[in-house]
Amino acid sequence: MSVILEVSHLTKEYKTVKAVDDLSFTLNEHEILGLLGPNGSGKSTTMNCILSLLRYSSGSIRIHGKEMSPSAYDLKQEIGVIFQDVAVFEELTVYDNIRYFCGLYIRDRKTAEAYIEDAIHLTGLEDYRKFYPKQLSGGLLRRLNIACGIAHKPKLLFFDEPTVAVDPQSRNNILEGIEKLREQGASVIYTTHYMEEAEQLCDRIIIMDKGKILASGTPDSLKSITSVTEKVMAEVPRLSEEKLHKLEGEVTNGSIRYENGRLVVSFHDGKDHITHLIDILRRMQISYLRIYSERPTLNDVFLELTGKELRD
Amino acid sequence: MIVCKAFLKVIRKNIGMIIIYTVIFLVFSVANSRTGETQTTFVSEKPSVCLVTEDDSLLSDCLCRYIGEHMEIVDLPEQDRADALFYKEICSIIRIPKHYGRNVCSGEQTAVGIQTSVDYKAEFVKLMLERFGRVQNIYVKTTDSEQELVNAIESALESSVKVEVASALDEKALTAASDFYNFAAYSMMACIVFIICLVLSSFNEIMIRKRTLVSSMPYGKYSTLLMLSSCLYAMAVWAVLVLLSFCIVPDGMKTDRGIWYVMNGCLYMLVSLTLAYLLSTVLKGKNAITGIVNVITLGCSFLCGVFVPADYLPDSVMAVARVLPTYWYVQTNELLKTTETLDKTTVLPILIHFAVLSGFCVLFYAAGMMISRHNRRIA
Repeated sequence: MSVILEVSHLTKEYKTVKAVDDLSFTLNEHEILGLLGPNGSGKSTTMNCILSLLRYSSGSIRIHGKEMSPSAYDLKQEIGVIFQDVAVFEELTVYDNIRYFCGLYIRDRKTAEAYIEDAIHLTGLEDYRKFYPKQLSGGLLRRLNIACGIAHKPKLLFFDEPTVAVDPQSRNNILEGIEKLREQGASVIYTTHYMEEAEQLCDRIIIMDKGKILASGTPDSLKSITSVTEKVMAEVPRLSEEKLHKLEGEVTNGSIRYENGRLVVSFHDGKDHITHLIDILRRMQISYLRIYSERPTLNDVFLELTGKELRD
Repeated sequence: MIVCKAFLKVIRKNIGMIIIYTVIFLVFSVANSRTGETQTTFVSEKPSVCLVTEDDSLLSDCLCRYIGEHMEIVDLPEQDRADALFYKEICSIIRIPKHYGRNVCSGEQTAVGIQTSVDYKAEFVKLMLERFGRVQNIYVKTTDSEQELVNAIESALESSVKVEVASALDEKALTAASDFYNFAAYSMMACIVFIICLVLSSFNEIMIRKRTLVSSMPYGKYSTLLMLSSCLYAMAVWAVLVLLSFCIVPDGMKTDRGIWYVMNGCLYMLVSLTLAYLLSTVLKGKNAITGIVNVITLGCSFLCGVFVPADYLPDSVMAVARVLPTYWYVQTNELLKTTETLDKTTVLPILIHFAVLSGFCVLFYAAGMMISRHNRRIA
């Protein structure tokens, strides 16, 4: 697999803050690479630096082996960007919007028309060609935003949190669409702070915080970083301090947290601890509404690496 | 081409506003052409006076006839005369004293008594009596009898001089053309500045700009295409106004001034275009554009004599107006209306006005460029 994008020692400094701190990574052909991190972790800044929307302090960015710069128009021809905020003209119809943004890359009319049809088909906007953005629902608007970014058939795609404030159905459509694009030969950089999305979609994930890479690898390899082997969650509306202390004494092979009526027990060896925990809760006469077991997630990795939850 | 096409499509979405401004302009122009016709019609009016005669000589009869010809004589009892004068029912009380004829003929200084109110009609009455007095004083020395004096005065006062204005200008046609182009200042500026600001605000919207910056179209080319599209639209507005001028005020436009009006309009179109460019770099948000553009276009029009003729505006207002391009545009139209012949000397002030308008274009464009670069650096 050849390397499409190579970022080396990228640093972006604002007056007193390092938004991106010595970041290095590569993106391979036909790969979906996720940049996962909480808000303010430097994901979007990294993306803006790669796209030459921001001047960076040091480091280098190479696409197909060539230095990326604001005037590297041959490289830009290969790039498509889907921003977090919808970037379309209110005054133009769905078709005209896609036509306009495709036209910024593709000069030949017939080719452009064929590409637009493909983009409309891929995003499922066939019935909305003559609609104005104001007439579209939030999900359809997102799809239009994606269609505008992919219509020129780029080989390198950047998605900046495209599913923020999107309903589950539209979210699935968007994720399926990205999969399709990869199947058609595109390589994707996908920034998100939703770990489930990153797990579901990405071949590799880079976990970022405070402008630095905390860890990177496939979802499975990342999850192997954590010492947690199983998490058992129980919804416990009321739990006294005394009982919590007693419970900590009973569970010897795991750590316990109790927050907002939720008891989380992380076990560090073996699996299938749920029955054992149910027995303890019964014995101690602690009533619960629901109890379930979960494999460790990327959030556990993040928690272990930073001491805070990803959703914080 | 895609940028131009999108630009025109966005304009098409704002066609309602363009129609409103054009209708306002047409209403103004048509209304003005009607009021212009009445302005040239004069109605003669005689001032009302109360005449008191204490003399019955031939000369006093002659003076009475003269007063009767030029003034409306109102009979009033003595006790009401002062009130009538105070309430301006009459503008003067003229009193011909006893032995007026005899005294004049014998060379004694005798004046006609006159009491007046303070208004222009009273001044006219004074003027007419002075005229009679001057003629009377000329002929009293050369005539031997009162009858001869009266004959001489009457024949002198009867003589009239036919006055013809020797101007070759078709004043009515040029006034109509000037008024048309003056009113066009508001519509042209509003149509160009408002619409271009609105359209450019869509193109300059931060996310659209980001998408353009990451595209393979060079940003310089993109900006040039936007500028050319704005130019194309502004020229279309100007062309429509010129076409309308040939339809609404054809007589004025067919004179040698026609081409100058068109050129003046062209320069004003360029001023509006560059002003639109400057404002689009400063104004963010469509609501702000609506408010500020209205203030600028209406303010310029009111201060510079577009809606109210410049002659009626106070000097202080006109002094402020000199810093606005609309002032120079309107003044050029006024010069074109009143300049007798266009030659090297008379064209010079017009060319100076053109140079001032061109200066505004350069100023606005340069300021727009500076702010645009500054904005890009910040972004």
